[in-house]
Parts: sequence; structure tokens; C-alpha cells
Amino acid sequence: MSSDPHSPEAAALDPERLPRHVAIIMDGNGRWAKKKLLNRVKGHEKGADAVRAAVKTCREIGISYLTLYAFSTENWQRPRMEVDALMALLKKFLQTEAEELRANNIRLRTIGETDRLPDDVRHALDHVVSQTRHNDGLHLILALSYGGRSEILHAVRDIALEVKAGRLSPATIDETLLAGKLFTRDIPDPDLLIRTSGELRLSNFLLWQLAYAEFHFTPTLWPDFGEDEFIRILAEYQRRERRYGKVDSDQPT
Amino acid sequence: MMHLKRWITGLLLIPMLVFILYRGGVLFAVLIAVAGLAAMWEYFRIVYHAWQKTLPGAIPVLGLAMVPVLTWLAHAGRLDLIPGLLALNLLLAGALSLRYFGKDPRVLEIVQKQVQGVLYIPVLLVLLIPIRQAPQGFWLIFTLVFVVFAGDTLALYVGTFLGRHKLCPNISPKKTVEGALGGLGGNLLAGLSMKLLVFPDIAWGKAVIFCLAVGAAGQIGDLFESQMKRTSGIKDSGGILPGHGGMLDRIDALLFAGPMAYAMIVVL
Repeated sequence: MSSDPHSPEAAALDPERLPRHVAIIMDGNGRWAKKKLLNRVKGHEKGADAVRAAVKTCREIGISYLTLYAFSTENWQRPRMEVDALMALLKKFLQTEAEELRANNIRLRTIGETDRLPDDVRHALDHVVSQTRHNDGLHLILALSYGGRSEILHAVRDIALEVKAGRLSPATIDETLLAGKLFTRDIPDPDLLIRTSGELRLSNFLLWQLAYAEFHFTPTLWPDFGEDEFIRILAEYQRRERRYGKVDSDQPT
Repeated sequence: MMHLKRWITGLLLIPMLVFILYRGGVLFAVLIAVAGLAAMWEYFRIVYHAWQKTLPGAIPVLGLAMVPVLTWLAHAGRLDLIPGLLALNLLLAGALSLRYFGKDPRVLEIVQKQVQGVLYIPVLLVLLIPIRQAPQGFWLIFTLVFVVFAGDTLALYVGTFLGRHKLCPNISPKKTVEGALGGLGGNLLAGLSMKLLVFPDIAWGKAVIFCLAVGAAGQIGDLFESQMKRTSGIKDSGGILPGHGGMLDRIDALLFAGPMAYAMIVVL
């Protein structure tokens, strides 16, 4: 499952206790750029490089699912120029990485209201998603135009319609049912959430799914987030006890 | 009387400047543009001294128009467009010069001076804007100004009391080597105290390099402007600030120190 470890730290990771699903809130591109007296967009460009590095690390260490919070529903309110630049960056990333994804058996998926994306970006996205849908290596999930609350609302509305139409009885509404109506319906919940740039909040990300995830916050800005830090965080994760609300320690994932 | 005027202007102006610096954003950009326009006007007054009435106004007016445009580009984070705009300026100035060449072949000199002016004033000045926009930008600019000011002040006092070897009598007869070194000392004192108070995470070595580089750049900027004035036979660049000479006199050190600070921040 894991290929050549690059460092003693990577070798020290217990392959049995890796998180199956890592979710990352990639915060700090804008701040990174401003620190270097650059345009915010340059920060996002550097952020794309960090994405490549993170994907590579996950693949090599043997993590099964990686979800990246690339663009939130709130981000649509950023200055027009920045939003346009981000969309252009996304399209370019999809085009240049398509080959990489294919070669490395990576399956690309998206969660979020992707119909809000510009047509050309959505086409590029759909193309890569369908091209890689038979890959069974790392699942790379991009959260694009995603908002946790609206995801839950959408599921609730769906359920309400089904109850109203008589297809569903309220007594049978359970967690599995609701989870099955979310964008993440056939993806296991994240085991580890990492947020960069020092902010200590969820920002409407995977509200339902992160119920039992381990949270790790780091002050590192996303463009500076590299393989070494990622591995250190995984090592720290392995030292934690996951109880899921019970008393006994260590439920195997 | 001169001193009183100086103090009063200073007392009124400084809190206002600090406030504008604190607010940052568009207000700060406007301040930069206004300062740039005033300095540009004085610059043209100095370099075009020999032309008086026969100056083809379109070329310097183009130069003045560059100031708000460059300021806006810096504010919008589009520093990458500045080389293109400078090229456009040269193109337009060159095109304008064609019309006047018959009447006055020295028009090429006019273009040269305008292009240098656009490079010297707005391009250097607007680099202060990305510095202000950076994290702790207020303190970065404050430190920059403080370092330059302290250098100026200490250079004056050390020069007055300990000055013996002339620095560059052709440019500025009052400046001495001792004064210049005192200036660097002032730069270090101001910069390192700011490092202690506001930037504890920066390495001492980097802070020292910053102070010396920025300080030296400031002194060179001051001398450069004096050189320009000497060539034109003018003493003060203008009278816009009562008791303080002209805008260009005030910011000549900053024009060179600012970009040096920008380079230091990016590189160090």
C-alpha cells in the first residue's frame, strides 16, 4: 500500500492506523502572497503546487480518500477578479493534472453545487471525473462551491418531498438515510481534518460528516504546507485515542 | 520664524499622516497619489528649468497622468502591468515628440527626463502600497519612515558636532562622512528598536541588513535629489509645505528607501 517512504518519519507511520479519509481546509493563500508583497492570485497559484504535493503524499503513504476544500459557497462573494482568477486556475489545474491523475490511478470526484461553476470549468471538471471514474487508487474529492449547511438543507428538502409524496415514513428516517442524500453519499466520513493558516473554525465544511473526525490546526499557510508537516500530523494522529463517544479506546478504523 | 512654521506644520500633518497610514486601503493609496503628483510637479519644475515657456506641455502632462494610474495598479495588486504601462508611456511620449522635433530638437531630452521622472517618482513610490497591504503593513511603513527619519536626524547632529571629512562637497557642502556614518547608526537604532517592539520573529542579522540597506538607500536618494537641484540651480524643490520646503525634498530619501525596503522584505 505505501511505496518508498521518503523519510524515517514516513517509515515510522503505522500502516494499520492511517486515517482512511483526510479532509483539508486549505487556508492561507492570500495571506501568504501579501506577506511576500505579491498579488493574492499568486498565492492561489502557489497553493495549487501545495495541492499537488499533498496528493502525492497521500498516494505514497496509502491514504484512501483526500477531500480538499477548494472553493466554498461563501467564496463567490470575493472580488470578481479573484473569483475569475480562481476559476481560470482550476480549469488550468484540471487540464494539466488530468494526465497525472490517469497515470497514478487517482479517481477525481467533486462535492458541492458545481452547477454554479462557469460552463467551461464544469466541462473540464466533468471530463476528468468521467475519465478517472474507473480508477481505484486514491479518491481525490474536490469540494467546489460547497457549503455544509446548504448540503444538509438540500437533503432535508429531498426527504420532506418524499414524505409528502407518501414514499417515505418519518419513522424510518435515520442517519443512513440522510447521509445517503448528501454529496458524500458513498464516501466514508473523514477521520482527520487539517486546517492551515492558524484559523480555528470549520467555515461550513462537511458539517455532518466531521462529527467524529480528529481536528488538527496548524499555523502554517497553505502554500508552505509540505510533505514533512503532513507526515508529522499523521504521526500525531496515530498517537491519539479515538473513542467515538464511548469509554473504550481505539476502535479500529 | 521658520522653525515655528516647521513645528506647526509638522504637528498638524503628522497625526493626519499616521491616521491615513493606519487606515490603509484606498485612503493610503490616495495619499500616495497626491504625494506623487506634488513631487512629480516639482520634479518637472526642476528638470525643465531651462525651457520655461517653450516646453511642450503634453509630455509632462502625460507623466503626471501616469501617477494616479500607477497608484491604482499597485493598489489593485497588478504590479505585473507596470512594465507595460511604462512602455506605453514611452511610446506616447515618443509619439508626441515627433510633433515638436522641428521646432526644438532638444525635445528628445524632454522625453528622457519625463521617462526618468515616471520611473523615479511614481514607480518607486507606489511600491509602498504592497508593503502597506502586507501583514503588519502599518508597522512596516512606520518602521521604514522611522528608520529614514532617525538616520536623517542623527546624521545632522553627528555631522554638526563630529563632522570633519567632507562627503561629497560638489553635491552637498554640509554633508560629512561622520554624518553619514551617524546616519547609519540612527538607522540601526530606529530599526532594531522596532524589531524588538513589533517584529520579534525576525532574525537579528536580517534586521541589521534591512536597516543598513534601507538607510544607505535613503541617504543616496537624498543626495541624488540634491544633485538634480544643483544642476538646475534651484535650492528648494517647492513651497507646498510651509517651513518644510517641497514635497520632493521630503520624500527624496523615501523614494530610494521604499523600493529597497520592498526588495529586502521579498528577499530576506
